[in-house]
This record gives sequence, structure tokens and C-alpha cells, in this order.
Amino acid sequence: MTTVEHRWQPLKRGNLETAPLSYGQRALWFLDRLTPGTALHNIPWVLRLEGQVDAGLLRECLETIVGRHDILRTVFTTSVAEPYQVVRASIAIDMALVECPSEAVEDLVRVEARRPFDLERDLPVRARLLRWAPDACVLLVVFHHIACDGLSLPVFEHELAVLYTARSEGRTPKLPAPAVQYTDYAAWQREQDPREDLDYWQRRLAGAPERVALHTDRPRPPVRSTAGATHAFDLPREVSERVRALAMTEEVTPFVVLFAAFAVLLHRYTGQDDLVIASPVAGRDRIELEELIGYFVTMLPLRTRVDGGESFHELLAAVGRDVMEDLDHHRAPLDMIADRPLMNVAFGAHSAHDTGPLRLGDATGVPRVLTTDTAKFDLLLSVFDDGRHLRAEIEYNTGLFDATTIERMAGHWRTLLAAAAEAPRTAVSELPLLSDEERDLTRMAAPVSQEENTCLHERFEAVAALHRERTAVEVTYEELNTRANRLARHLRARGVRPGDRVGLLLERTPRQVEAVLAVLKAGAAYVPIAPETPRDRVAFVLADAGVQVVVADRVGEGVTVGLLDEEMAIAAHPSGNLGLAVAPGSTAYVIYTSGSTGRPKGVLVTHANVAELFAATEERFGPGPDDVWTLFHSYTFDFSVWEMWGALLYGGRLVVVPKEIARSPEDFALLLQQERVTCLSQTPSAFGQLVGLVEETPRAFRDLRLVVFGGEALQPHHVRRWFATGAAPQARLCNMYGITETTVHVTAYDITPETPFGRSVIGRPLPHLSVEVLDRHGRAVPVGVPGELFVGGFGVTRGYVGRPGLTAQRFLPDPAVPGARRYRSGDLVRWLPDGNLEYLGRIDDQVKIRGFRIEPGEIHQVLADHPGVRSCVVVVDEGRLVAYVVPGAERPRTAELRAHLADRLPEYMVPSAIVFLDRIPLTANGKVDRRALPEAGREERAYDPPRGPVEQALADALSEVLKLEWVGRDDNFFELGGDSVRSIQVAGRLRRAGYALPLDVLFAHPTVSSAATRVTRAEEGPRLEPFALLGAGDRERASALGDVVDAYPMTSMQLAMVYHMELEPERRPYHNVNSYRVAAALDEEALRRVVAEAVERHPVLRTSFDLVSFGEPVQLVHRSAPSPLTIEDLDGADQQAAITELVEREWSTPFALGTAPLFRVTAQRLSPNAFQLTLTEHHAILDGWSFTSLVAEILNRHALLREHPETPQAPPPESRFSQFVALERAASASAESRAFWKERLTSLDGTLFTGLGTTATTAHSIDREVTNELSRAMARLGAAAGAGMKSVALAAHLVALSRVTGRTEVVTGLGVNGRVEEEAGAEALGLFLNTVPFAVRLDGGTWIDLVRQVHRQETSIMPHRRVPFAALARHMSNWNLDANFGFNRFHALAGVRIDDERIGCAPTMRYEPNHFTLSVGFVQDPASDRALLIADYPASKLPHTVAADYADSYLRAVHAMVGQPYSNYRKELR
Amino acid sequence: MTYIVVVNDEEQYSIWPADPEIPAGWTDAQRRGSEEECLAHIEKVWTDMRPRSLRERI
Repeated sequence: MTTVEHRWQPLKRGNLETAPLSYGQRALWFLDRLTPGTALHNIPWVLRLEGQVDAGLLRECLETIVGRHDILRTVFTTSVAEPYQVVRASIAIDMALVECPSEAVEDLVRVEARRPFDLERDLPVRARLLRWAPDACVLLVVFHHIACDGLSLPVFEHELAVLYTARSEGRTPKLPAPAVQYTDYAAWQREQDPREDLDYWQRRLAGAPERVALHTDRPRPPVRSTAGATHAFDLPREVSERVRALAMTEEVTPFVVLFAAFAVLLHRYTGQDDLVIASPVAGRDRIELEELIGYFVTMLPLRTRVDGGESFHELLAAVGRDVMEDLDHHRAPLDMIADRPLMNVAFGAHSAHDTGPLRLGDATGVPRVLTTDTAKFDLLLSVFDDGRHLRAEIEYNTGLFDATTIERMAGHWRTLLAAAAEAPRTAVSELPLLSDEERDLTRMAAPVSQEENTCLHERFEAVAALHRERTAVEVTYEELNTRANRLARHLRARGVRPGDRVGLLLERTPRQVEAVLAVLKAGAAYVPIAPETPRDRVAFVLADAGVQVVVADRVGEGVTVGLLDEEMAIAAHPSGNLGLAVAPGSTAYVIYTSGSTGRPKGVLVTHANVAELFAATEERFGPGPDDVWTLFHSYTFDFSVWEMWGALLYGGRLVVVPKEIARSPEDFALLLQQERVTCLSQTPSAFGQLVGLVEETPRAFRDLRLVVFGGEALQPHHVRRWFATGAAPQARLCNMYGITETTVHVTAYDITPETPFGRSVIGRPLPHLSVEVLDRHGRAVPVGVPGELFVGGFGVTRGYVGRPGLTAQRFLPDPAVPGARRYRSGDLVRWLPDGNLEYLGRIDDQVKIRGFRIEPGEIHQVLADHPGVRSCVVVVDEGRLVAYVVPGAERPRTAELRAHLADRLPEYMVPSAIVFLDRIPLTANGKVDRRALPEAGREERAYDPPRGPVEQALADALSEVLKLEWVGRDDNFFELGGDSVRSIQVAGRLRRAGYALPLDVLFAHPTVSSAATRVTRAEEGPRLEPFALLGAGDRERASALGDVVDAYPMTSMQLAMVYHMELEPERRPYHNVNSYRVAAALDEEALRRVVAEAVERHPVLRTSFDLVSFGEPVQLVHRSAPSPLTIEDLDGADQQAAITELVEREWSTPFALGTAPLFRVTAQRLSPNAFQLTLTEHHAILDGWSFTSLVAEILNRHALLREHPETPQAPPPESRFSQFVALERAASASAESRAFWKERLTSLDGTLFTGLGTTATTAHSIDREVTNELSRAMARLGAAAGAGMKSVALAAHLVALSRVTGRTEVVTGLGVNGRVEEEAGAEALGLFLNTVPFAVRLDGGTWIDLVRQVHRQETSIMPHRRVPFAALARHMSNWNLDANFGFNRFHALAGVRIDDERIGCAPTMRYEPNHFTLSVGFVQDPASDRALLIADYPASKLPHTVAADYADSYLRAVHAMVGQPYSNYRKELR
Repeated sequence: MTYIVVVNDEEQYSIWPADPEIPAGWTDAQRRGSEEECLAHIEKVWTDMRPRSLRERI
């Protein structure tokens, strides 16, 4: 066991005023910033006191506590690198005494408890004393979680009681001062090396599911809400005792028992066998922390495997082991774990502190913590153990769950826990969950049989005898019976015998009904086939069903009887009933359904099955001779069985609806009216079309009394809209769920305008059936939990023709009825609390994306709510979602529908393709014909070929991944059928072609041409989408600003510069002014254009800073910024004085950080052939290299435009400053880099000059020229040492520093460039600088060794150079760095000449202060080999003599090292 | 998961998980194995799929 104890050292009291945040605080701080202004992290503690309370004394005591615990007077500020905490000196607490009526107290408490904290300004604790009587009041103390946790409260309560009671009695309270403070803990924690712990969690969580996929009562909103509620419940005493006893026997903690039971519950709810459940760990494993108030708790991601087969005992052992090891690593910075699961479900076990009364002097009360009606998790189960009882509560997200769902869940857990504790050797899949009520609710009455002894045709014959003259199907019952008898005889003449199967290949006419009756009368079963069926399938069905005789309308190939051709022969047969003995258990029909394997399967349905269906529904629907039924559905769909016998078994009239009419809502509506139809059966799809029609052209169906839905899931909006039309208010609507294998209908649910039909409710089973909803272990699921529907009873059919294996697999033993079978439906349903079932879809259709269960029905519903959608279908096609939409009068745009969906559904539920159709294709059965839905390919559009290599590569990748012949530049990834998985594939193909495509690009810019502009060469850093680096809240706020096109956090260096500017407003250390004399004619027009272009090309020149409005300091890139150019003529006057005056003025005019651009340009015409160019900039937007690039750009373009005014504008740079920001953040987060620096920097001191002044004032500068010759010699020495010239120049700097300070250990800052590419052609401007501490021990050795040593160290720093100095400085013994060194080679200026006697690019006047005591620049002349050594220093901090000594020593060192590289450098040191 | 082949009085075949008790009205057809193996066995032995009572009545 590796534990922290091995490294245990007592925490030291550091009296720290500032400290970094602990990992836990940091994570919480970020969360707080993500959901600002909520009470999510409030801990409202209330104490209702009886007795007199002295408010003044109370305040005094609270302030003593605030004084004792630094954390309670700590504010949280964003620093250069990350947030840090600052302990304030003042102990004044925000406390108010409110005298109010007693009835107002509750509201006041609630408001106060939920008022958010501003962590930057407010102390994390406040108090209110609400008093309504002299001896009755409530004390409310609200803590922010960042300064408090559950175990802090007993500490607080104890101290409050001791202080108040003692003082009220005039005694001095005895409370020892805390040994350490929270800042000591935070500082200590952040000093620990997190790598081992991080590695552990990285391994532990590899491949873990992203979340616990609980079925929610409502779809997940696009943005997680924090609204929550809490359900509290007790565990019976005997359960508590058993849990404790079991823990003892199993040698685990009660926590493990309770947690394991929760894991089993989640497994049983979700079927997931791999669960990650967050769990709080107290984190107070050090004795010094026990008496401290503060946030020590950590949410650990506990990963647990439950497969269901193991016993609870075995699970306990495994969980116990895992939890032990996990706890050992609880101090890891968990927010740094890559691909960490979301932890949407949490479990905590707490020992409840003594909830006995708290005494404050004469007053007493029982403290408690209020709920704030928020939820940090989807679900959090907490158990409190007061030593005797276990009490529990579930905090849940009310946006996802109903209270009743949670109450039931609590019950299930209780039941499960009790059973597990009682019999731990039980397999966890066998542990009971259901409450008695649920068992009652879902327990089935035994199916009722009417034990029908007559066959369908026999019952028909009896009805025909009774209703002889009534119309059956166009003809009377008498005639229909006669005709069927004749045909039956005809069939017998053709060899049909009882038990045979007769194929029917008939159009939908009354002849169909006649033929069905005839087949049954002949003792055979009919096998219906639609005439338009492809020949192969007809042949398959006939062979599969063993059909010998085929009846068709006309004689043809393979047809035994042609009804029309043989009319005469048939009519010649006798007309009486045949009276053949046919068993009710004989097959009546064989209906083929498509199988998942693609091979259709014939379901054998008996006379008895159908008879039982009607017997079971007679009472419900009361069919009778006055009813008019439509035969709307094809006889190959068993809905037709319902329609046909619904009329013919009760003397009603059957209207055969020809196919053409069934497909035209208009014609069908007319038929309903003309035929005065009373009983209508509809698939929801067909019904939807009818509703659409009635909405457009209102009409009334006065005779309609019953509409039965079946065949697919009924959509609530169809129902709503139907009622709204008022077309048939008297008609009863009944939603029926059915399966061919269990004979037409299984369940029924009556819908009225009063019963809300908000989801696909299918009701209860019909009385001749039983249903069960089972989990994957075959156990009944509780109410609300999805499971597979099993159907038993008298509708269960015989099975599949010729498929014994398949039949045995789907028709399983029904344990409820001896010897009976039940059918496994493959449908997912759940019980609703009222005992009805909700249909959730086919199990095969259940798609999970990133752990989410997708319900196409939910998407359908949202889509259908769009006013431009008349009807729609959402299907899962090869693992992606495709929406098919029939638009209303005005066709909505795809983007509009996508936005509509994205606003209401989480991203993973937005279909990847939306296809518009004129109508939803329906099968002959009236269901959506999925096979007839067009491929979600493309809409027709003119082909515009890709342009350029990048578009071509992208188009190629798309066509390969999406399997398309060609892809044009305007083609849209989504419209072509792309989705997130495919976008990864596209990125993969592109990478092979040498291009990089960030994954989110195709989502935001789905067309080839737009995405291509964001594709980079693969070796470059990733492109960033605008705002991508901000947290969600900030992103939203920033992108809502009208003129802001991008925003990202400020870098540490930028913040440091801004900070130093604020700190020294007089000196303005990072406000730079440079002024150049340019030997060229000033072309005003050209210069104006150039400056305006520069502002347009470079985002940094349109950037402003905002330090306060966002969760972190942010830079905002504006769409445009005014050109900051001033042009003036200096004719005649004292030009030098005017220039100096301008420079002085520029220097004394600071920038407003919130206004872009943060730079200014002034051009002063000196003569027809010369002008003065003065540039002022806030250093935080431009580093030296960028600055000279900008000068070069301005001057070069000015020269070019003066000669060639028609030259077009240059394209914007390819790279962007935001990429560097991203890289800096990545470096800060890199554990490797942190460890690298920590090792190097611990206790390093950057102070070189002591005893000097500390206030920096005016900057001075000294410089020395490095001649061509000397500079070339330095380059040669560098090459000889296998290093570069930079190493040589840096070595000289170190030696010179040693010389002027007399130290052999020298520390300097080293300016490093954080750009991705150093010498590319079209790069961004910005501040890519970082300063890293560079320390060398000068123990003596050859010069060349020194250069090599410096070079090695530079090289080792390279990979870690982007970790910001502010983060590095924490490791050093103090944050100071006196010296700094920068090595620069700036841009060449072509076409212009700057008049400067010293160096080609240095300005004639410059003002570039900084905050180092000695800041050295080694600047190479781009036009020659010369270089310039520039040393800046504030005169007050460093005497001029020292600076001059440094500069001289530098040149001496350079001369020495190039002259005698193998001599010992020690001679140069003093 | 292991299954057994079971058969009822109507000589209809099905499968059942090997561990729990066989439901009333069903008997062990003396075949155990994976779901696939059991179904393959049924495919061979269940040749007349008509329920016994119906077969006898005809």
C-alpha cells in the first residue's frame, strides 16, 4: 500500500496571506465561475433559538471565529496564472439583526440562504439573526462551500457554543488557537508531486463509461440546469443493524456495503456493468486539519464493475479493495485527469454529527442545514449515520426526474439493501427491488380465456344467419356466406384439405374477404400476399409456408384459382355451409413479418387466438350490427384481422378501402363521411396525414365513434392536434400496442381530451393476456425503469412456420402458467406509476451515443413541434440519426430546424441529417416504410468542384468516408449524412493526406468550402474556433457582445504586464514608445491604407482587455477597430523639439485597456524625403519581434503602395495568437512540465542586487555595439561548441552578472519565444513571450564548456518553456528576478531606410521600460552582422555605475571567450 | 450463459437458463449448452411444430 503517510510531515504554520487554491477549491472555483450567481455551493446553516440572544455578543463571537479561521475571511482572486486566495485582515462579518414577524421568517431565511456569494469581494460566510419575539429567533449562517464542508460545521458549532456561553457568563472562553490554517494546507498540497496519483487515476479510469445512463423522466436539456430537490428517508433500525453487522463480517466499512447496494441499484436500473459513481472523501486525514473549518472534501470517481452474476458478498470484497486503493490516491488533482467521466451520479456516507441541542448562553436550539433546491449531480444519495440510525437523502436534478421517481428509487434501494444485508450470498441480479405497491401494480391478473370452441368461420356463419339481409361487404351477409361456401367447395375440388395453407394473391376488394372466409371454411389457413410483391418473395413465402394452392384475381403463372376467370365454375358449387370439423386450435392465417436477419418469418395464428382477442375486447368497444368498419389495411398486416372480424363477427358493415383511396387522405376523408364509418383503425402515420388534412380543410366525421391506433408509436402531438380540429369530438380514441406474434393487440389505453397524452402511453394488457417488463437478467423492473416487454396469455400464437429454433428463442416458458409460453417482444417499455405502460421503442433501435440512450421518439416530438413541420420521422440508420420532414406550407430551412432541435435537445440527439420529403412513404400496412425512405444522401444541387488542394483533400475525405461518388465545395457534411463519428473518420483521412482538421470544425462549418479554410497542415498546431478557450458561461457572454468576433483568456505574461502597469502608474513599465526617422517620402494616402490594413489583418490590433466582467481576465478581439493614425506636417519649426514633445506626450498618455486598438501611430513629415514615424503600444499586445514585424509591415507596405497603389491587400496571417494562449494553458496543466520546473527551481532565489532601492522610477538605458567582426566571432564560437549564437550571448551575460554581483551562482530571467514556428512567413502578431528562470553555477571550466552547458540547459527548457513565469515563481524562494536577458533578431526592412547611426532597426528614440532591475537585450541587426547590447534599468534600483560595469564586463567576456575559448573563464570572475 | 432445452406437454420446445428451477409444466429435454447450441438442437428435434393436442385431434 502506497500511502501519503510515508511522506508524512507535520504541516507548518506559515502565516500566509496568500496561497494557491487547493485542488478541491480550484475545481469548485471553476464550477462556481461556470454557474455564477447561483446558490449551488451555498451551505445554509440555521439554528432556531429559544431564549434570549444578545445580538451584539453573537456578532462578537462570530467575528472571533472568523478571526480564528483565516479561510472565513478569505477572498478569491484571479492571478496571473490561476486563482489564488487572499486572507483579509478584517474580521468584520456581514451580519444583520432583522426584527420581523414570525410568519416572514421562513421566506427571509430562504431568500438569504440562496443569495449567491461573490467570491472575489465577499467573505465566504455571512449571518442573519431573525427575531420575532424577545426569546425567539433564528440564526442563519450561510457559508460558501469553498470555505466549508460537512465536517466544518461541528467545529463551527462547538466554537460558537463555547465562545458565546463563556462570554455571556462573563468567563474568558478557552479555545486553543488552530495549529495551522487552510492556506498552509493548500500550499502544502500544491507542493506535493501529483504525478503518481494522477497516473493511478488515469489507469483506473481508462475506458470508463462517460456517465451512468439513467432513464430520465424528461429529456436532458441542452444546458444542464442546477435546479434540484431533496428526498429524505429513514432506513429501518433492523436494516441499519444488519448493514453494520454485515460490514463487520465482511471486514469492510458500512460505506462499502451502502455504496455497493447503490451500485447494484444503478446496475439494475441501467443494465450497465461498468459504473463510475462520484463519492466525497472527507480529506481530513491529517490531525492538524480536524479542528479546522475549510473545504477538504474531494469527489472521488469510484469505478465499480457489476455484471449481475456475482453475489453481493463477492461484490463487497471487490468494492472494498477498490475503495481502499482509491482512497490512497484521494489527493490527486482530479480535474487534471484526461477523459474523466462526468460523474453524474454520486454517493456519500457521512457520520452525522451530534444533532442534539446547541446551547448559546440561555438559549438553545437544534441546528440543521437547509436545502437550497439545487442539485450538483443528476442524482446524489447521501447516508448519515448517527451511530444508531441510518438516515438517507437523495438530492436530484428536478429538470430530469420527478419526485415520485426518486421516492420509488429510494424505496428500491432500501428494499435491495435490506435483502442484500440479510442474504449477502444472493446474486445481485436476484436481489429484490420492488415495493409491495409496485408488485401489486405490475402483478398480472391471470389471463382470462373465453374458451371459444367455435372457429371464426363458424361464428361468421351464425352471424350471417342472424343478419341475413344486412350488408356485410357491399353484398349482404347471406350472399357473402353463399359465395364463400361456393368458393370453399371450389378450393376443396382443387385439393385443399383441413390443415393446408392456401396462398392469397388478391387486390384489396370484397373478393379478398370472400376468399379468406372460403379458405377457413375449407379448414385451411390463408397466407395473404400483396399482388405487388416481388416474384422472389412470393416464391419464398409460398415455399416457406408449404402452400400448394394459390388463389388470385386472375389465372396466371403459379396460380391455382383465378377468381374472375373461374366465376362460372365457382358459382356452380352448392351454396350451403360446408360444416367441416375444424379445431379452434388450427391455424387461421400465416402472416409474414420481416425478420431482423432479413429472412421473413411466418407467424402461425389460430382461430382460438383471434376469438380470444374479440372476446377480450367486446365489452370495451361494444361492436355491433350498426357499426361501419373500414378495411383500411392490407390483409398482409394483422390490423386487417381486427377490422375484418370486428365487422363480420358482429353483423356490422365492412367498407373495403381501395389502395388508392387509402393513400390519399383527401379521398379517404370523403369515404369516411360518405360511408358513415363508425369504427376506424389507423396507424399513427396514416392518422397524422388525416389530421394534417383536417387542419387544412376542416370537416366533421359525425358517425365516427371509435378510432383505434396500432402498428407503431402514437405521437402525442397528433392526438393534441386531432382534438383541436374538433372533427369528431364524440369519437373515442384508443391507443393499442400490438404484436403479430400475440395476435393483433396486446394493450389498450383510452385517450380523451382530458387525459393528457404526453408520452407514448400504451395502457394495460387486454384481459386475455399478461405482460411483464424484465431486465436483462429476467427480473421484473421497477416502475419507471425501462425493460423488455414479455407477453403471455391466450393471444400467444403457435410460433414461426418452419423455424423451430427461432420459435424456441422468442417463445419462452411462462413461469406464471404451467406449460404456457410467453413471447419476448424485443420492445422496450416501462411502467408508469399509474399502472400504464409507456412504449419506448425497439430494443434494437436503442442507440447509445457517448453513454446516452437515444430515444428517436423524443426527437420526433421536438421536431414535430416546429411550426414548419407537418409530419416527420426520425430513424436510426447505421448508427446515426436521420430526420425526414414533410414541410408545411412554408418549407423551413435545414439550419433553422437544426437550431430548433439544438435549442431543445442535447447535442447528441440532434439528427445528423434532415431530409425533406413531400410525404412520408407508408407501407401497404400503413406504417412508415423505412425501406422507401430515401438515403440521407444529398439534395440535388449544382456541382461546384472543390478548389485548391485543401478543398480537394477535404472533398476526397468526405466522399471516401460517406461513400459518395463526388463531393462539391458547397456540399454540407450533415446533409451528406455526416455525424460525430464520421467527422473523426474524415479527420483521420485528412491527417493521412497531411492536413489537420479539428473535430468541431465540421460541426460549425459543415460545407467543404468553409471547413477548408480552417484546415491546417498537419504538423502545425490545431486551429481554434473563436471563443473555444473560454468556459461555457464566458463563451456565451463574450459571443453575445455585438462586435466581438473572438475572445480568449489573457496569458500570464499579459496579466503580469497589466499588473505592473497598475502597480506603477507613474512609470508605466509596459507602455512602449518608439520613434523612427524614415528616409522616404510620406504618402499620406498609402500610409492610411497600410495602417487600416494592419488593423484588419492582425487580431491583436483589434484586441482589448477585460479583467473583470468574465470568470477570468479575457482579451476580446473586435470585428473592427478605428485606425489609430495621426499625420502632421512639421514644416520649418523646431522639428526635434516637436518630435520629443510628441514622444513625451505619447508616453504620458496611457491606453484604456478596454478600448482597441492598444497602439497608436503618428507620422510627422520632416521634409519631402523624410518623415518621423512614432509608434506607441501596450506591450501586452506585441512582443519585440511582433513589434518590429509590424514596423516592417507598415514601412514595407507604405513603400510598395506609394509606387504601386493598386497592390491588393495581403491575406491575414495563417497562425493566430490564440493558439499560443492554448499552448500556454496546456503547458501550465502539464504534470511533466510542472515536475521539471519544480525540481529545478525549488528554493531558487532570483535576487542578485541587494541593498538597493526598491521603488522603480524612471528607466535608464545603456548600450554597447557589438561589431561585425566580434559578432561573427561569436557565431563561430557557437558553431564550434555545437550551440547557437544565442548560447554564446547568454553565457557572456551570466559571466558579466557574476562579475558585477560577485556571485558564482547566478540567476537570470531568460526571455523565451513561445511561438510554434520561429521562422515561418505569415505568422501572427502578439505577445508570445515568456520569462523562465535560468540558473547557472559558475564553478570554472573552459569557455566552450560554459557555452555547451548553457546550450544544454536551454535545450532542456524548450519543451517546458511555455509554463508561465507566474506558475514557476511559486517554486522559488521568493518571486523576485532581478536580471533578465533577451536575444532578438528582428525583421529586415526592405525598400526603406531608417536613419539611425547605430543599428538598422533600432528607433531613434525609444521608451521601453520594464520591471526588472537589469533587463538586457542582445539585438542583432537584420541588415548586417552587427549587434547591439541594450541594458535597461530603473535608476533608483540600480546605480548607473553598476549598469556600466555590467555592459563593459559583457564585452570583456565576449572578447575573452572568442579569443581563447579553451581558457578557464574563472579569470573573468572576480 | 448456459441454457437447457425444455419441452412442455404440447411438445413445444424452448430454452431456459440452466441455473434457476425449470418452470412448472416444462421438462428438461436433456440438453445444455449455449443459447446457440440449444437452439440448434431444437432446430433438429422439433420437426412437427403442431401442438400435440392438435396433432392428436386430426
